[in-house]
Amino acid sequence: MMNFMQKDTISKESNEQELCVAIRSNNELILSSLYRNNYFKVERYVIENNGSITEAKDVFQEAFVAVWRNIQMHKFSPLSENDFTAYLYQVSKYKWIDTLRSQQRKVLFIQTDVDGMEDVLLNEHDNKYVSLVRKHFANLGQTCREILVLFYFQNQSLQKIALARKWTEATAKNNKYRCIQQLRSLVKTDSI
Amino acid sequence: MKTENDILPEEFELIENYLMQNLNDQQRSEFEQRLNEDTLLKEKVVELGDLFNGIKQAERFNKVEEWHAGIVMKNETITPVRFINYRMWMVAATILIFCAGVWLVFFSKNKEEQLFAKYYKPDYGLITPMGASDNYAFNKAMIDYKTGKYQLAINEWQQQLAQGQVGDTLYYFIGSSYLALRKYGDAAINFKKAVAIPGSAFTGEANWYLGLSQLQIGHTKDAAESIQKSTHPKKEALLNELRP
Repeated sequence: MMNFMQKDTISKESNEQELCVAIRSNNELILSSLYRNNYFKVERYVIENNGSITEAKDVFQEAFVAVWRNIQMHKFSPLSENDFTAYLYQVSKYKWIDTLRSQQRKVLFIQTDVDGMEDVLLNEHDNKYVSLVRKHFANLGQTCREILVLFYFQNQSLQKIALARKWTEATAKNNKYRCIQQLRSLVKTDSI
Repeated sequence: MKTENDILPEEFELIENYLMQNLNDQQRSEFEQRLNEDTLLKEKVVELGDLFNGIKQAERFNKVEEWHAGIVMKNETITPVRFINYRMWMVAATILIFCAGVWLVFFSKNKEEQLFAKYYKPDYGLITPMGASDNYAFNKAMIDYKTGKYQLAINEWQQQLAQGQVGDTLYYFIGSSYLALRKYGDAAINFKKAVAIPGSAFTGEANWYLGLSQLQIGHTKDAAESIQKSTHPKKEALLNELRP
């Protein structure tokens, strides 16, 4: 058993080294802090470049989730918070320019220093299926949404999920399978 | 009626284990060999991979929406510049003068909140090794802390304190949890206990967070002293802002 004596300090990794770990393990405290600390800069950028607050919010949320996803998939590993912030800002700018272009709105005055961001958008444009999953996930029943979030997002074990609901592990496994089938079916119907 | 696109439970479990990297080397190798030969199986793997990603993204979007609602509730968003006529300028100027008066009246309180918002960045927590460990209870609470379940983490760590385990790490993270819950008084009490333990590697950071907590409960002089003792790179900047 750990002995908390007078001085029990555990070796503390630097913030920089821990940032990736925190994001990959879905540390909500850190992620929400990163969201709050970066939103206003992007909001200002979008508003100053022909956009509205609603558009700023949409662009920033899309960018934030894209950056989070890229870190989860090890496509990007920020070495510091500054690294994260710079990348998020670049992705947000790229997404806003893309939005303006797709709506044939004025983009002449925007500095396009966003090279190398194409793949961030490309993945999403090419993958309408993921968007449909996101859309129909909201249409599932509450129990299904909870099971799927606990298992796939929070990485909880079936044993723990079953215990919390007084199910057997086999029931939890079966329910998860049925929820996935239901989601597949909703997405398939929409994409036909 | 079964169609070729159905994924039966056994096949689903296998694909899921592959995508979640739960197969051993041999199982993975055998599965990948099958993938090379079976186009339909490959399609199912891609589909389920996208499905799992979609679920994760849906939940992440739900979370960011919640955070955003918090920002909007605090009315922190900036207002876009729009064309307004002369009469509207007059109305705006009147409102501005009124707001400036209100702002002056409440400035001392708002300044502390603004400073807190500007300088508070939560501690990331400690690395928590998975698996059996003699620190299991501590690590479990650390995972709760990292996933935002601060009250659960506090309960667990306080239980450890009640069992006689005393140390800077416990006090520091109980304080950090209270601070994240914006319970500044409780946070300050625990940070004080952490800094009272000599030779702690947390002393510098605990003093910083102690100062921020004291700032929020109106103990500005104590806050300045605690911040002065901290090792935070922005301590001089904050102290400058605290000076009258």
